Amino acid sequence: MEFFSEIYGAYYRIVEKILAKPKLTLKDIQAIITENAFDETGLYIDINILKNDWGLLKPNPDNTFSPITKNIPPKILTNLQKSYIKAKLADPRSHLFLDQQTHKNLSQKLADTQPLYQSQNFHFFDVFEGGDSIDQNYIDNFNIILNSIKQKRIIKINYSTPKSGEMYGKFLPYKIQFSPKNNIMRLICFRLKNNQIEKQNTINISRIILAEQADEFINYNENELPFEKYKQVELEVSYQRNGIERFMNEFAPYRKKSEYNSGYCKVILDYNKSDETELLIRILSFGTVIKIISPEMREKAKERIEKQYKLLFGKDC
Amino acid sequence: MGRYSELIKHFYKTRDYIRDFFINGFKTRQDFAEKKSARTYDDEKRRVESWLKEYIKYNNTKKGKTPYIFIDCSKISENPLYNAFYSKSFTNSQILLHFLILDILSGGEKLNISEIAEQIYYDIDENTIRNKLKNYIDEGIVLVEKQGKTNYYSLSTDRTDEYFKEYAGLEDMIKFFSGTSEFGVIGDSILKSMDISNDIFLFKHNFIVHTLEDEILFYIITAINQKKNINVKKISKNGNESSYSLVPLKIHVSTQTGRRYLIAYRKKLERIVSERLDYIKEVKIASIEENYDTYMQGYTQNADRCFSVSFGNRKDNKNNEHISFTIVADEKTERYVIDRLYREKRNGTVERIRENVYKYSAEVFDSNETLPWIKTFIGRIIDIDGNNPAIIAKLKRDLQLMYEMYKD
Repeated sequence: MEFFSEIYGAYYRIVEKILAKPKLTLKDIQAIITENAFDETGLYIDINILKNDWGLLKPNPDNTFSPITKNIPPKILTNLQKSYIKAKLADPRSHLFLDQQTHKNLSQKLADTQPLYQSQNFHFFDVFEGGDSIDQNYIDNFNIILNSIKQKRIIKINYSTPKSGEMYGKFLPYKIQFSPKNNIMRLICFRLKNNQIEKQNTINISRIILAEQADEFINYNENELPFEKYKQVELEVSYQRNGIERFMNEFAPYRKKSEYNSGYCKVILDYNKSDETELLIRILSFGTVIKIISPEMREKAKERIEKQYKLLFGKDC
Repeated sequence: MGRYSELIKHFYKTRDYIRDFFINGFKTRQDFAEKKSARTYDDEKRRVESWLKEYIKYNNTKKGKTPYIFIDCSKISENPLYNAFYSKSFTNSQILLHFLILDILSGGEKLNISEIAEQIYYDIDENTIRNKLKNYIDEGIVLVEKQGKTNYYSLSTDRTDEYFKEYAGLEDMIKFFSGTSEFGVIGDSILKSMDISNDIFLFKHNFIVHTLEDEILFYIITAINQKKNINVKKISKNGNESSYSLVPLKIHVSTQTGRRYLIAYRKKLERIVSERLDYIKEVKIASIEENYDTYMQGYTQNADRCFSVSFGNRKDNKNNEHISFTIVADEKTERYVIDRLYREKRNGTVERIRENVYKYSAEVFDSNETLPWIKTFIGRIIDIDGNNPAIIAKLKRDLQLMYEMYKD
């Protein structure tokens, strides 16, 4: 079993699509390449390659081309892919998607397949405790959300919040977000007021008491949704204690621009307002390696650090 | 196709370039050329541009133009770095044979090698066809059955489209797992084969770059599950290469720092070591390890004192360090701080000292590993204690320097 193999490659996928058509014009071939390949692939796959080098197409008298093969290429699930599915069936979250009987049937189907890995091969040493506990209520709510996202259907949700207790609202569900750090799933949605899309909201699925589908649908344009806006923070990351390498790894998920100067790296990082506290905490965990330049976040950091200094060293600032 | 191709034979070289563009994003052509030739840089950059076009940006700095990958990983439903895995090079006869074999066996018949070769009109010898069939048996594409002395080949009946039809929910399940860090690219390859994209799930704290280590990880996990030794070729931060043998035991993953480590027993040092996956260039699976269970037992017995990845540097694993810190938080209005302490405590314990005061304590191999986490409680810490005075001094000095740094 090979992991990095041409059988999963973009070029094989393109050829598979070409061979699935009984007759193609040059334009059809180019369209398949453009839609399914990398930016420059059109420079490397052309009719001569398909016809002469690979010998997979033959010309027709009417300037079209046909596959030399007779059948539509079958989509075979390889051993690697089956072993991947088998490994995922052991993940408790697989029960969110497959009902008990389907889970059992698929497990039986893959009885002779070795799982690609076992959960005990991994230890996620800094994952937070108190992640999602998946019971039947969670599964039911999850599936209502999942189907509503697909149907662009409004949902009515009762949920609990740590601050305000039980809440109720009508929402347009957008996506389900998973955080491996928190080990929880969240619904990203938009609150509706008088059936108008109001603002972005995030609700932990485990906090949902009851989710119900409404008989209303919204055929939205994704570009017009009122997503939470980005804020920016400017940072200086120093060399000391391998700081640049550590910072760049830890903050890799963020959108950012960096510029290397002597002794430090200047970084402009984009973040959402709702993540500000988490971001500040993580920046502070780097100690003196990261210096916050942007005044607003710098002030917040300063406040915490001064408070800390007073607590530990007993001096007024 | 000429000298340059957007396809690659080996993954590791490209892996380093993508990582540099994505993780660092501040290196110029000159910086790369100091290690490798400028032409290699140009080729690798061109490939990454072709695979990830919409995410590549350029920064004009005093040192020169720097390409960087500009992505908010929490907003993308598909990992664009998977494209690197879809770029394996192949020969003309490999692609031709692939589609001919699928076509010839599509009818459902069981055919022997001569019958297959007869239907391949091109000048390809039987040995090449036989090797390809053997390879496809390993991959699960072709099945083989012996009748007398003759092998009969047929196509696997496991079809992705049929699985999706028969097992309701499987498609959504793969959409979800294709974005998670354990071999998500394989899930994505299943979706791609069906022309399906993940349009439901997003991933926060999403280290998309982990996929670059998936091939290495695949061999390590295979060795762990077969209780085998591995030979690794490693590149240090300074670019120095070294090779040695390890008994692989576990993969330690940080969901916060973006680092993944192989935890292994190194016989030469007679102790457990940790190796960052992104520094491992190559893994070769070696012989069965007779004492595998003993080494695994050593890991299990000591894991509760490993805060992150360090098992200390003594053979007897007896270098315990004690660390504790105490925080203050209002139980009525700042419960979230106390909850965070409980939620993130790992292998330590949390004790309520008195109203609004909580103490975390742990016995660990290396208390230095706890410092970044302790600093996330800045503004709350009223006491720090431990039996490694250098670590306590380091933390206190850092807090003082931070105060100096932010003093107007």
